[in-house]
Amino acid sequence: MSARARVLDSRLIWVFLALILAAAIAFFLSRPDRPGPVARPMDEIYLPGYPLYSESAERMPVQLFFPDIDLDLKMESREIYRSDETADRLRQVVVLTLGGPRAEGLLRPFSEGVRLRELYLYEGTVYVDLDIPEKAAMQTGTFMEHLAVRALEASLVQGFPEVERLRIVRNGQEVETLFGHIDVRYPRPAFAASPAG
Amino acid sequence: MRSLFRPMGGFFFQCILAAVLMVLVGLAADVKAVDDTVIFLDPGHGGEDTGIVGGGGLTEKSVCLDLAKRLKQKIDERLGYRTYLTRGEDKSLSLDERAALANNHRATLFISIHLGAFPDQRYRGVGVFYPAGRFHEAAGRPQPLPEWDALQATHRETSKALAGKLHHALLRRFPDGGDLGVHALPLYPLAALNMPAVLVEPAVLSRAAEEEKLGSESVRDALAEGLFEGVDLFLKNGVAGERP
Repeated sequence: MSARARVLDSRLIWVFLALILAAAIAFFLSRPDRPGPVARPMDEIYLPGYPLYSESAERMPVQLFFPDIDLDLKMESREIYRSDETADRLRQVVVLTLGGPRAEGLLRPFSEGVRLRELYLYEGTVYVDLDIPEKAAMQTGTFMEHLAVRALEASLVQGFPEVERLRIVRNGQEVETLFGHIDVRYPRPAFAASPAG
Repeated sequence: MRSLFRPMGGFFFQCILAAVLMVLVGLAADVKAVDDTVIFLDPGHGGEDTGIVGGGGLTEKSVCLDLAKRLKQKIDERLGYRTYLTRGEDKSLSLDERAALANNHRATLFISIHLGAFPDQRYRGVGVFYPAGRFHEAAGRPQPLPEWDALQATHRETSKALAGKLHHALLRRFPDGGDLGVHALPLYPLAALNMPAVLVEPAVLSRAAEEEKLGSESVRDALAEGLFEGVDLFLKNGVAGERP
């Protein structure tokens, strides 16, 4: 092989490598740039673990609420999968709210380890049963408990006109408070859950 | 001469007698006011319920108990009011039991002492909370309310005033300590109380710097002094609430 042919071969190899690199970059960039609506593994936050949606289902926007650094509730737009059952959509909303915000400057309302045991929608009242480990109670003061309850309520009310009342229970039991401070004995009317309310 | 001065002397002695009686009545009224004032201090959590646990291991239940004991001692020594703790040791006590104790003693005011916690180190200082009006009342669809909730609602304005005095006194003592404000919240621990009642969080235990300070006896004593000044301010201005 002549010297010129060897140089040509070498160039061809570099061109080939460059093409592979370009293809890899194109593949990487062509991936969906937004993560799925339920970013965290479902079984971390939703105890029953059965599918609440099909990933082939279309997505729908929801408005979630999280405390901001000034300790007011602020809205964050997110997406859930359009499940057939309203309760499944509400379950996704709770899972996303428990999982925390994506935006910087917003706070996670519930401590790590708080999970959704189950959620029912019955005659306009949403019953949310939360699994709350003792450790979570060791990290939650009065005002954060208040904000956590309000964040969950506000997220569940927005965009769901069928929700009229909210009732939060802990570990399958009706309780007076979730963490020892804020009164959750009664179903709260949906209007009371609006961030402005 | 004696007959001349007898009417004046009689009048003079009557005045003296009236003055002495007025002073005695005043003193008696003052003593009665002190006797009637019953202060309940409620150290939050206790027993298995540690409350918040700081990164360094300090527990909310222990700090609250210490602050309550210090505050009681200051009130005992300097104001002389009858002051009780819902728990004087590390033991579990339900929120209902705490409320029943204060109601049964016909307490004049109730202060539940807790500490704050936030998921971020930026929050610090004092927050004071008083019972919010119940959302049921504004719903337009009245629901049956437990009797005790309705009773607490009658003390709301006085509770707000007490919260304001405690907040003011703590900020005055710790002007650079951070201010988390005064807020009306639906507080279950205060729902069943038939008296002005607040929940005060004089510091944030989840903040490492504040946990370190709370480990110091002098800082805890200064916090108790701030609480004492708030109680004193409130009682000097009168307890406006009427017991239904």
